[in-house]
Amino acid sequence: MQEITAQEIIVPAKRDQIPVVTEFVEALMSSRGFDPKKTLEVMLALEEACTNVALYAYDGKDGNQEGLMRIAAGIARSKCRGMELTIEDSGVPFDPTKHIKPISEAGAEERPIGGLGIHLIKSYVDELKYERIDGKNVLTLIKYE
Amino acid sequence: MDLECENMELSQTTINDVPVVSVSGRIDAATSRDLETVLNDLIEQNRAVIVLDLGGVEYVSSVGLRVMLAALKKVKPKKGDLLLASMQPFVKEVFEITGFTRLFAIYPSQAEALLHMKSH
Repeated sequence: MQEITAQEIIVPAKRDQIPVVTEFVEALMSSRGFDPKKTLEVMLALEEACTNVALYAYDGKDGNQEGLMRIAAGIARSKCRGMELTIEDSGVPFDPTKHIKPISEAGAEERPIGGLGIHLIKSYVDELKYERIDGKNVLTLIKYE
Repeated sequence: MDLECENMELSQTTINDVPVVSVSGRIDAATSRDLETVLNDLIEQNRAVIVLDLGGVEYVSSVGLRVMLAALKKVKPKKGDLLLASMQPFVKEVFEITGFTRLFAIYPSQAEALLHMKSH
């Protein structure tokens, strides 16, 4: 995909920073005239990806002061226009694409609380790719318009 | 009681002795704790049957789903229930993708959820 515009934001890898990231991407998509429903879908996938970073990348503790996450957002154009997001962190190696488990069939009492985020990411993006590059986790999400 | 933060509004009322919590905006990483607090407060007051009106909610992430599931897990052993009402299409879709539609009693409107309570 050839990028024609790219912007980035770097924030502490903490859950309270996630709205800063999603609002940054929402504003970008809105200004480029993306469909509101698709914008919400991308925001949801992005929130889930960033939540994983905040919870697990650095010492497994939300609020590690040293840990950062970098989100780059590009409006890309190949055969069709799309939104390409990369989420980078320097935390422990973690490939979320390897942790997709079937949705539990259990009732409410037995149903585990967790494991939903990666399902939502996979459901709402068209392409999902993980790479470990120079000691960084790089997760790429692509959504076509 | 009304709670308002940047992206979510919560209001709480009691109808026919059933607490009804109405939410609007986004239930996300930033706002879900407020919803958790309201639900936990009700459960601590021994209100085991709660109606959660999601009519104004345009977006819910897994953090919000976990808050609702945690509340449901707390009220079920007390023979209670967390009834969800008035979901917008995107929220319904998120519930379907995650299999949460099987876990909750979901009603098209607050009135229908309350009617269900009356019939029991």
